[in-house]
Amino acid sequence: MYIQDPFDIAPHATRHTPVAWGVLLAGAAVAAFAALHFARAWESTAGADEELGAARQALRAQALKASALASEQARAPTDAVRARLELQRILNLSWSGLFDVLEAATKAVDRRVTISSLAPVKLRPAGAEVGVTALAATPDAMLQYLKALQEDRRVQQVQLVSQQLTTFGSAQVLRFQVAILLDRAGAGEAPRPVAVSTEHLEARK
Amino acid sequence: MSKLDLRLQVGSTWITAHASARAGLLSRTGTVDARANTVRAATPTGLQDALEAIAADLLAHGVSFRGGRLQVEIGMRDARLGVLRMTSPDQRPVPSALLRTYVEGSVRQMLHLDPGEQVLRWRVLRDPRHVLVSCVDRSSLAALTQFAAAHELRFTSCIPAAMLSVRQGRRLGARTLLWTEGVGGRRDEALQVFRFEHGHPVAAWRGWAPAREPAAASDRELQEALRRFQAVHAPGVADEALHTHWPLPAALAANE
Repeated sequence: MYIQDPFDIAPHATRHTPVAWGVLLAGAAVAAFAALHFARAWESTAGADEELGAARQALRAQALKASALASEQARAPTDAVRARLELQRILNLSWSGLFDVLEAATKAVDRRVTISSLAPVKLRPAGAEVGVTALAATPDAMLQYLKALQEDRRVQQVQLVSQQLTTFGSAQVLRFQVAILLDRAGAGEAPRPVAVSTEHLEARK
Repeated sequence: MSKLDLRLQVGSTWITAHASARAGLLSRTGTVDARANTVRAATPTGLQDALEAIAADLLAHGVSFRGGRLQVEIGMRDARLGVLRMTSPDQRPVPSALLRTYVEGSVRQMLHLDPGEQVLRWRVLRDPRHVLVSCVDRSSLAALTQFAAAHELRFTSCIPAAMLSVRQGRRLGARTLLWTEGVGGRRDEALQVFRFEHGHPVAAWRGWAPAREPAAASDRELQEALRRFQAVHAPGVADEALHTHWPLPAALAANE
């Protein structure tokens, strides 16, 4: 059916019948059709892969954004808790120790220095820093007051922040501000409250 | 532009040629229609010489060979057809490599030819025990190929002429076919007989009978050869053998 004539031995004899060529052409047509559809399916799959990849990236970006937002939001309570604890510690500072230091220094200068205001600045690892505003009768009195503070064993550090000659009534006085770093013993810290662990807040992210 | 078709019929002692123009894609059938025939000498170069004589004759008629097609039918002097009968205990098909060995052996033993000097072709028939075998002399094919190349002809067909009888037998079912060759009202001495069953050759015999007129009715030798063949391969069958004489009548009439 497919071989023209097996007994034809001519060098250029037709080897295949028209039926054979027809089958070959039909097969080629089917193969071309299949190849075309395969190519289309391939393109479609590639397009779908791209879309899927883009969708995944978008989801990933969204997830990262949500995660960043969540961590920010989680950090906020952590920071707030820390600030609250700090304030709590500052508020729990024992003032009696501080007053003793200041009273001793005032006696040392024969009460020529008067405290006008004081306020806790912050708690440091070494101790508590307190800001003091005072009035001195004379510059010598101020210097002696500062020296007395420095020599107090409960004081770690004294720093003159500012000084200003001012009129108080009819007299001229020296108004000065000093930062005093009291050690923990001097600060007389009250027992710390139970620390609130913030790890669980971070784990929630 | 029309192209040439050159048909050659290569007999034992003769060659006939018919050149005709076939219609090209944009032309009608051409007007070339030339015939020639020549004697083929029984010499080693007899075929080449006869081919060149044919070519010269046709060229003298104004035929141009260039780009044409050469189609050849080869007679029994240069081609053999035979039927190989095999027996296999389990009726399974014979592997192709083994089949080639059988074919070459049958060519050697039954046709008394050297398979190396023949162009062999074979086909297993519907009954797998029967194989149709064709042998064409290599030197004859080489001469024809050389002729085609020399005249810029495209050699597109070369078959044993007796295959025409085999093709005829396919349409007949069960029949005995007689094949003879000759020109000029004569029959060559070689003849071949085929027995067909269900359109396939089941037996073939190649023989020799003194040259006679081609009419089978008055050819005693032919009748005797047929009788002997039928007795062996179709005993009790009364159908009349179909006689084909080659070249076929159209060409034969032109030569007369």
